[in-house]
Amino acid sequence: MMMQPKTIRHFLLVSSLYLLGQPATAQQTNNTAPTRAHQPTLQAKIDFIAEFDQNGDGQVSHSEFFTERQHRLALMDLRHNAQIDVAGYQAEYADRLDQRLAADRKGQLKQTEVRFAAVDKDQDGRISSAEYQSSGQSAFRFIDSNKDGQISKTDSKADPVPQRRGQNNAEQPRRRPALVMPTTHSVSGMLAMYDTDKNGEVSAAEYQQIRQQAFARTDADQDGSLSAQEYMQEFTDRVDQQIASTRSAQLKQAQVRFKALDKDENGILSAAEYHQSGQRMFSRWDTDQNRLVSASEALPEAESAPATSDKAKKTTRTAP
Amino acid sequence: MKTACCLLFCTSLAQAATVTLPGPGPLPVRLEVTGTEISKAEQLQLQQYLEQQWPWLADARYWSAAEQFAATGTWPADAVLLRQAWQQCEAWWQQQRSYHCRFGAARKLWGLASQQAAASGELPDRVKLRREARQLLSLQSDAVRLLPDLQGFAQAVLLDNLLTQAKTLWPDASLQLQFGHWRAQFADTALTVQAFGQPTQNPLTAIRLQQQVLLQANVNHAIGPDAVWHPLEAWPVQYGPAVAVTSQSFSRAWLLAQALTAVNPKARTQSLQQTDAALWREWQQDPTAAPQLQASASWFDQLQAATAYQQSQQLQLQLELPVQPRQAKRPYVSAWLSQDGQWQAQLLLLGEQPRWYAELRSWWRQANQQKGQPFDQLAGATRRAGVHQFLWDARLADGRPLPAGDYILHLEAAREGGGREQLKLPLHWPLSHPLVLQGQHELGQVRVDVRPAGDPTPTAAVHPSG
Repeated sequence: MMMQPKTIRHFLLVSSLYLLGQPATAQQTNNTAPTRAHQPTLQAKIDFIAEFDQNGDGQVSHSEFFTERQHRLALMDLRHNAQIDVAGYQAEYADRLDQRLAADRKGQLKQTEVRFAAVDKDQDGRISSAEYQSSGQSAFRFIDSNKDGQISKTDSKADPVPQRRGQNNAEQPRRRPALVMPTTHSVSGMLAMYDTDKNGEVSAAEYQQIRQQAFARTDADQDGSLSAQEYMQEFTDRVDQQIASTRSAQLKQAQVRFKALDKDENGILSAAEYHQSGQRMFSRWDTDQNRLVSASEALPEAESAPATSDKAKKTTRTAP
Repeated sequence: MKTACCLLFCTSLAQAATVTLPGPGPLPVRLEVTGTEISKAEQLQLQQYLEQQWPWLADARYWSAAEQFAATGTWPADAVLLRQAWQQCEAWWQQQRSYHCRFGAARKLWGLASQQAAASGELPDRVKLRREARQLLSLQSDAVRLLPDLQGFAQAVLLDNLLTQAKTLWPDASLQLQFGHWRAQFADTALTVQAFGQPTQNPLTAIRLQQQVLLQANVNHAIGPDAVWHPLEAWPVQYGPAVAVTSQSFSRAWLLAQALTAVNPKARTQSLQQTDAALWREWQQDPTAAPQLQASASWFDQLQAATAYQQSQQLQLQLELPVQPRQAKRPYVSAWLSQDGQWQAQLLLLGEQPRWYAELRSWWRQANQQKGQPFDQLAGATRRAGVHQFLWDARLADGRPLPAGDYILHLEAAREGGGREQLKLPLHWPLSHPLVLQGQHELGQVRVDVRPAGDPTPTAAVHPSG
């Protein structure tokens, strides 16, 4: 049952999630404004809650949080000598990341079967060139909301398309997946996939050409149609590439976080340093100071955004 | 008299005889022997040696021997090759810590899993494999039984043994061995080969082998039983570079090639000695695009086009970062050369997070035009206040030495919560005298010098002030 947004503020808040929520891809595009991570958005809080909520009540109590942090600290201690170095910190993070990536990978591959069936209109087990083209064209027409034959930033839609039956936009957003594959369901996805000359637009001709190339590349036995196996193989390759680049970027980030946590720069993270930063993280979300972080609580104040001014100060949030 | 004439006659003709020896499968091992006569008996000796040893590397016999070793700690009496390979591999791990042969269990599991994966898309549990890997690596080699993974390495050891036997049989002859893309040349003349087996336009791939072997790893970027394994995680290296290595022996070259595929790009040249050289070809999604190649310093000396790539000088940059207030962050620094307003070469980049590179505005405006420059690969960590020395090998991104001419050396530093500073210095290459420049607040004294190529990177580079 679709819930209508009750207030304009709620609507704006929900829609801003989808505009701000940059997919956490590792590719560095030539952004002039650096992406702002760790901003206190509702999505960030949902991610936080999902990460630390042990008992499934949708809230994070201080004791839950602290227990989980203790548990992680123990896992980081690879040599069992109460000295945590960057290798242990990275290894613990890598374990959690790999679990999430494996689950996301499985989910993505399962969805591929559904997508294949959706494109294969005549259900003959193969996607012909015509079926492929028609599915591409309908996706293009759907995203090109101002119907100018081009997909560009001006086509941004405030209300994104419902992805699946049962999920609706005004409900609580779910945790962002670790593995984000660009899809053709949004403008940014389309641009990520098809804007090869990086001019911020995808014209119909550009789109067709790239689709043709992709079709030819996927059709391994060159018989003019895509079998389920070929389709799955091509998608699996793309997923694995995305996983590899996400992993390496995230592990590098973990190293940077370690350096930020290690205040005395001795290469060893003490329990005190770790818990101090955890406490800061928790109190930032716990705006009503009741030792409980819940989704309905007010969000903390946003930091002043220097990205617009020329005399920019870089601000880095250290989140462990 | 007759013998003297025969000797003259024989040496003047310098016959090259090619001995075709059996390989593990349809591909043979070709040995070319020049400068001496080969008898049938000697040829048979080598042939029989290989015929006996190849089956040890086949799955059936290998795994039963390996499992016997894992269970009892001793190899079967006749598995001489495997025992030798195991000892060599363990010795390498103990000394170099860059590669080992301990992940036999994982490779077996992966062999099974990839068959299942074709059906269901499942991969083995990465976290579990990593934890097991950590345990395996922390064991002493004689303490507990490990299941070795030697099928790849033992092949290199076998070919080394073959060459040793050939050298014993024919001590004065020139030897040339070819097995697939693996080559060895032990002669007075050089042999021209292609690094990755296929001729390419890029002059970095054509080398001249002399008194060396050449082999490659990860050329097909395959994920499966032939993959290169990451030495710290029981997982194949995915989307890593292909590596071609030249060295003194196949076993050394093999271990180096595997290690160099998995290693962090910034640490690539650290484990190479004078007698080793390596060429990396980065993984690319589009196989038709021009390959991105990176060569180690001694690789350039082996090129067929070596004269065009000779570089006799390096540039030393001595940079002082002034002391800043206590809580200040360290600056991001970029040093580069430009000519006619175009970025030509990057000397230095300090700062590892690509999202802040745009703060070094002048650099970013110029460098951003360069598509495909892996700046985050050559970026180093930020440095604290003090005097630091850096060496630049005076080569452009594609390996060519910096052409002579007039350039401008730029230095730009930007600090969070602090300022930006940019310095410019006209520079003529080759540099005839040292240059000195003084900055104001974010950069201190900058000194540019030349050093002869081959001088090692200064190790005690950091003199923290205060």
